[in-house]
Amino acid sequence: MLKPIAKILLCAALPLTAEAALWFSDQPPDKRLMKDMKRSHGGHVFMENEVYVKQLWLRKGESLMESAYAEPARTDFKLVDTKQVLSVPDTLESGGHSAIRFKMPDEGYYNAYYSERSVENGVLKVDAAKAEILKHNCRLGHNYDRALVNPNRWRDAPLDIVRLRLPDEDFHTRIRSGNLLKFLVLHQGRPAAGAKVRLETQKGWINVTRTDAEGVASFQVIQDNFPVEEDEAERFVAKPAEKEAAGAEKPADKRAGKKDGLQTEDGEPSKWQANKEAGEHAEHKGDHSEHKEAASRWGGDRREDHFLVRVDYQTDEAGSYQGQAYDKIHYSAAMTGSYAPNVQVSQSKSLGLIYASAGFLTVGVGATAYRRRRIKPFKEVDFDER
Amino acid sequence: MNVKATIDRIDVRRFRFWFQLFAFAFLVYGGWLAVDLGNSLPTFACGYNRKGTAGVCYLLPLQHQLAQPWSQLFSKEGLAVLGGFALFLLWFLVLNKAWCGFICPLGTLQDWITGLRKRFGLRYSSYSDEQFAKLTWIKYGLLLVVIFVPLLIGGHFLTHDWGTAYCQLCPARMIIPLFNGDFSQWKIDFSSTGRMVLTALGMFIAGLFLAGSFLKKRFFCFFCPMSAFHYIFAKLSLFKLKKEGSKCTVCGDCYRVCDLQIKPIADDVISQDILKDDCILCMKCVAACPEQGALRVDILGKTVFESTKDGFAKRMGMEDKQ
Repeated sequence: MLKPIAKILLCAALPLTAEAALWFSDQPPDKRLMKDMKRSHGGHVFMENEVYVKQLWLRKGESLMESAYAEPARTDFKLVDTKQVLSVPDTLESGGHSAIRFKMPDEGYYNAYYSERSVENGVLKVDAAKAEILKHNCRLGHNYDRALVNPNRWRDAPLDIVRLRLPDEDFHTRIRSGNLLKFLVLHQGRPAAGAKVRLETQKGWINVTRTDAEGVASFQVIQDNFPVEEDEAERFVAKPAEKEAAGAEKPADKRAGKKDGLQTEDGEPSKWQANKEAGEHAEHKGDHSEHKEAASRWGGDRREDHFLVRVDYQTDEAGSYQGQAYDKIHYSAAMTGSYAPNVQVSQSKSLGLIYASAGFLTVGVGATAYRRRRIKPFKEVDFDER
Repeated sequence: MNVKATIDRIDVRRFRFWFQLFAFAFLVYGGWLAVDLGNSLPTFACGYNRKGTAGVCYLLPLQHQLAQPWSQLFSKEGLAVLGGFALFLLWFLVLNKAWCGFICPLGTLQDWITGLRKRFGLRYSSYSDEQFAKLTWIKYGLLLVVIFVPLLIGGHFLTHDWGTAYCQLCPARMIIPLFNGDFSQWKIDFSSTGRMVLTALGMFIAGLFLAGSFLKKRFFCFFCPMSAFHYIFAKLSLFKLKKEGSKCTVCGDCYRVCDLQIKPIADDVISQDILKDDCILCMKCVAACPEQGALRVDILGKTVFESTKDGFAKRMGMEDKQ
């Protein structure tokens, strides 16, 4: 009896209620498209005459896992390439949804932007999505200009989130649990002090902070991405009977899944959506089976989770937009990133030294013993001269 | 005295010491001077020596490339593998196995450890003929690891935890970065079963390497898959080690100075191209040969260094006594 009351009180106390964020995703709505994609340092890409081609879809929702593929209200897409040149990327229909597509011929970071505006209750809402995509191909060598690691940005972005680089970051650096992530928030090119910055991980860990006078917000990345051993993963897999029972209870929800676009082209709900519908047990399955799959393909320390960072910033500017007056502007911007487990968690230097010492002693002691065995002791030979 | 005669009288040991020192500094620290010789070097310029390395050992990118999904590897994209291999071959054909004897940082390190043993006045170890015959196949086994483990990953028979399997075993991964103060590879990685097995074996082999190199000259070269890989293409190289059997008296000097205990260098009086799979082309055999023209090094068919009585006498310090 107390449990539901405690839950209600806890929810009421949380000041973290998020509005829907608009963000870019490189995961196609139709998973069959993945067959034509190649994994690269900057996520999944298509190849066109040996040139990486990136495709991004807009998604909208309260969190990473609760977002549906969205159709853009306008075609206000921008692309800033590695040489800081601004252009408009191509838009196309792909996997049943609108997407932008652009080539990445040069090494460095490409930035895609999208924004849409509307007036609600006398407030002009400017919602922006941003994606920062790395182009790096090891085949081209590693003697690149280190300045290419620095972030690029569109100076006229209404609200921009710039991920500041880690110390000694290069094209191979991964954000790992324990790293201090810093974001610079810029409003029309200037640091935005006091902006609310919310970071949410794929697992649902949320942290909210505000930017300082320099427009910088910091988060220490949580360790919520643990290796899942096969037998452990099996324990969380919903049994067929459970699945059926859970699925039978919510046929209407299944149809709702179709509405928000979380479905494959076969008309079936996507894997994640199906898991969500199948209740709490299957939610575990969703998380852990994805982990297991990722871990099996890419190895323990290369397993990655995503985070969504969202910024909200309000100004008292008045004006009118499409004939509707407003006296405030509420800006929001969101972008995603990925992080991997902290390698130190699964490493042991002392055991490493013990193994190395064992190797050293095996040869050292073995060779010494072998040499000693080969020394023939002096034997006096007596001759009977009689 | 002409140039050729001067070269034939050269003190190979001293020349090699300084050449190796330079090559070691160049490959291990050249990265700090923005030197980048690419990813296809036929020597252990370890890619794990991230900041310092002036190039990358070909075995690292080869394993990466072969681990692509088969659909990519056996398509137009797979041609990139051939591109990297062509570059490796070009580098290799110029110097043949002299990459091992003169340039390999791990080989140089073993020579320095041998020098240390000599200072301690300890005698070196050697293999019996039976041990030699058995152990010499290990490098081919490791070459199979280099090639087939990534292919099995690409075919989804193994996970990426087994990626760059040979590099995880190679002592260069642990030892070369130490020269730039990087101890990060001295660890066992428990993030997955594959990584745990490989890194534990790697650490054990690093210990074997240090003790083995102290007791046995060029201990690891005997097991080196790069050496086996070299030997496949050695016949194509411009750089040759030749023997004139008719001039050889089978005195065995060449065998006695050989760090790799290659017996045919003394016994084989029939083959002209005397380079064997374990050879590191250090040229110590040529320098130790007392017979005029019995052993020689040819580049593009032209003899650049050969055994001479005169050179032998100079190197043995016999000139002054004559």
